Amino acid sequence: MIRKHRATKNNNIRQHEKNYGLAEGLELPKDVSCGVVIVTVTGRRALVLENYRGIVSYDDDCIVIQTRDCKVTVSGCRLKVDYYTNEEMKIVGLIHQISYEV
Amino acid sequence: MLLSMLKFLQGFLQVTLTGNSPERFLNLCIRRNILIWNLCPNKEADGFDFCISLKGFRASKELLKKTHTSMKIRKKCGLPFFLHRYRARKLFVIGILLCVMLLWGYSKYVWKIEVNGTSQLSQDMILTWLEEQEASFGTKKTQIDCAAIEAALRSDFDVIAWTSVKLEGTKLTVDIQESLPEDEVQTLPTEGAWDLVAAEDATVASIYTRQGTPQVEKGAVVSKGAILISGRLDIMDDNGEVANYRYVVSDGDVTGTVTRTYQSALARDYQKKVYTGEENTAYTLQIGGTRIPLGKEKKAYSACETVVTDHQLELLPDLYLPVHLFVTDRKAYVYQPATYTKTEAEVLAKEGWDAFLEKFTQKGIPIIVKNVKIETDEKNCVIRGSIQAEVPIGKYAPTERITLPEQPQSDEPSE
Repeated sequence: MIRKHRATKNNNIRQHEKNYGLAEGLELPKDVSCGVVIVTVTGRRALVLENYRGIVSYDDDCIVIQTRDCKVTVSGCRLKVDYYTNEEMKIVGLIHQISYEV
Repeated sequence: MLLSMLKFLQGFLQVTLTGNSPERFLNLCIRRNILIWNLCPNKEADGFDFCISLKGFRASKELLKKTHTSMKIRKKCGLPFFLHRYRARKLFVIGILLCVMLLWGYSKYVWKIEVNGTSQLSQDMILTWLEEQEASFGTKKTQIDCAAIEAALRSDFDVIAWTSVKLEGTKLTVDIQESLPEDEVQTLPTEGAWDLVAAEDATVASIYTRQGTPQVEKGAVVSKGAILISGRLDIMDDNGEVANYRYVVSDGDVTGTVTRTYQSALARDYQKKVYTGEENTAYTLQIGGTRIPLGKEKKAYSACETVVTDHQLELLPDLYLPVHLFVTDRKAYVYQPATYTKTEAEVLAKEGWDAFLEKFTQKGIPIIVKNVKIETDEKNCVIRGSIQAEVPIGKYAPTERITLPEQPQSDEPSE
């Protein structure tokens, strides 16, 4: 079962790499063609995320957001979601770190 | 700002979400396009606090069941809740709306007219004239053409040299600058033949000629009508005889020393106004054309000084409304026979003399000599005085034209 899951995950990564290479070759915008996440950071106080799937976990100092190919973890303090829509979300607070986890 | 207004108009709720998987509820909400904002964790309730639209709240009930979460309303905000809260106060809201509509309606009319700069013309004359022009109190602002009123004012009143009419709020301001009175203005002829003649008997103090032939010198005693500067210029020929005349408008400044006398008599017995100490104040409210007396009717006095002060309601600067409060102050008095003391009478008589001198000072006329004598007896105080002042004495009079006798033509040709 675990082996099957790992195989599927590897297949997904390979498929994604292939799509990314194709989009790169055709000079297509990656967010449209590959659905990659767009993270716009304004200083240390605000962050806007687009192309995400949902919130995995949320507390005062860490928000984990699921995107199509990875999880984005925003660490900081007094983190607050200013708005949360189907298109984009805005996180405000003091941001310490933004990390990507496959 | 616009978004906040939209949220307020539609109504929204501040809620606390608790349960096993609140993140799942949030993700489902965005799948169904339910807007969530101001999302932050609530550690005390072990959940999330956020704002959700009224419509979104209704749509999320199914999701709450699905995700085994519960939502607790903390605060209801927005217009729908406000209207619901005050549904029993419909009349109050209607009253506010009516008040706003009345204010809006009244602001379309002129409710105050301010006339500035009048001295020869009275304010009442201008107000009556404006009434005739249908630009009076209560006239619609759109019917008032300020430029046309300015032009009509200038044409109807010769004394007005400049005028400005402007509408600000519900106030019509008429600014006027008057020209000098006709007796002070000497219309200067521009062409023809004009002499400068003495307007009265005087001794010439100074004479400066710009155009024309001076006929008198400084120190000369002239009688009324004597030519000071002639408008006729003699053109001489080679023999020193008058060959021709040229006529011009004479021009120059001629001042003369004249004597002015002053006499005034003041009766020492007079009727003194003594206030009885009785006074009252009455208030009257005027709304539109209706006058409503406020309070009890005040006692009327046989003789009293009455001062009426008009306070007009001004909501904002220049936004006047047809609501006036008239405050009438009455002070009763009686006349009692009294006699001025010698000093009092002389002081009063001197005031008249000072006012007489002030007229000359205001015009910039130098006074050379002044004599005054006050005679006070039991009944009267008589003041007699005379001054010598240097005043302009020139006035225009047509020049008498002289025709030269025709010279006999000599048959001999000139060599």
